[in-house]
Amino acid sequence: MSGHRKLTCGEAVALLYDYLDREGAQASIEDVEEHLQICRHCCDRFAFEASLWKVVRRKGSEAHCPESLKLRVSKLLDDY
Amino acid sequence: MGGRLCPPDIIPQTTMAAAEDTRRREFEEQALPHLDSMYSAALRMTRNPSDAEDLVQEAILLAFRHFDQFQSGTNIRAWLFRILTNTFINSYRKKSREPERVDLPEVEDFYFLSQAARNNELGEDPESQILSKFAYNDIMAAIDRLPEEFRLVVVMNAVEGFAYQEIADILNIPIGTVRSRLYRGRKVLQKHLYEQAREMGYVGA
Repeated sequence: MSGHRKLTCGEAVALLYDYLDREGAQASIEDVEEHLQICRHCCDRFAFEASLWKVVRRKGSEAHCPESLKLRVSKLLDDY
Repeated sequence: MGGRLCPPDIIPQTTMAAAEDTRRREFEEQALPHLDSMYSAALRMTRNPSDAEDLVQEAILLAFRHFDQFQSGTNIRAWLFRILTNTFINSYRKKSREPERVDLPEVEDFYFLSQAARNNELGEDPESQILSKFAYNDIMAAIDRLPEEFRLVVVMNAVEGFAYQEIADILNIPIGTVRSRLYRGRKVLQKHLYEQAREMGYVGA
């Protein structure tokens, strides 16, 4: 509670990726959360940004390697 | 499949062969599920399907050869990506030694949202109306337009979900560099994604 700093929008935005990636210090993540509770504008912007990166992660992990590579790898291990 | 029956009077060669079988089976179980994401990352590194296949093959061979050095219980994906990245840096990047000191454009924060709002393209639910239309290839095309030094950290973070410290270890760069490249790279990627969305008609069609 005390020790929490009230962030400006600019300060919150500077912590955007730390916040989304859960990489910042716990204290600054809490500061951002507090800001998002009182600032509708940032809350909407952060929510959009979170959705965007969620989609990038989800779609981006639909990768498939070619069957030819699987065969090459398995032959590689056979011949090892 | 299934365990082989081992007679008690087994000769040493057979024991070694059995150990080798076990090693291979463990490697296959642990490493090969990551072949898809390794190939995808390799494709982002080389931007060429045949080089990407060669790169993954070389990395897998190295990983198998040094599998004893992998500490089980630690993150095998990070270990494999580190080998993949080192292999890329050592043998592939030399080919096209473009000393990449590229200037990234300055992109405003929340670029996608701001542009879409400015152009009246945001509906009730942008996530399902716009973002969910992105396909794998759209995301990759947008990533592939980033300069290499940004491309790699962005792939490791935005697609592969590695923690900053893991990325620093994989790429062998300071964590501060990871953070700053991600900050700039993701903003530019966001601009590319918006441009991709327009091109594909996901927005402003």
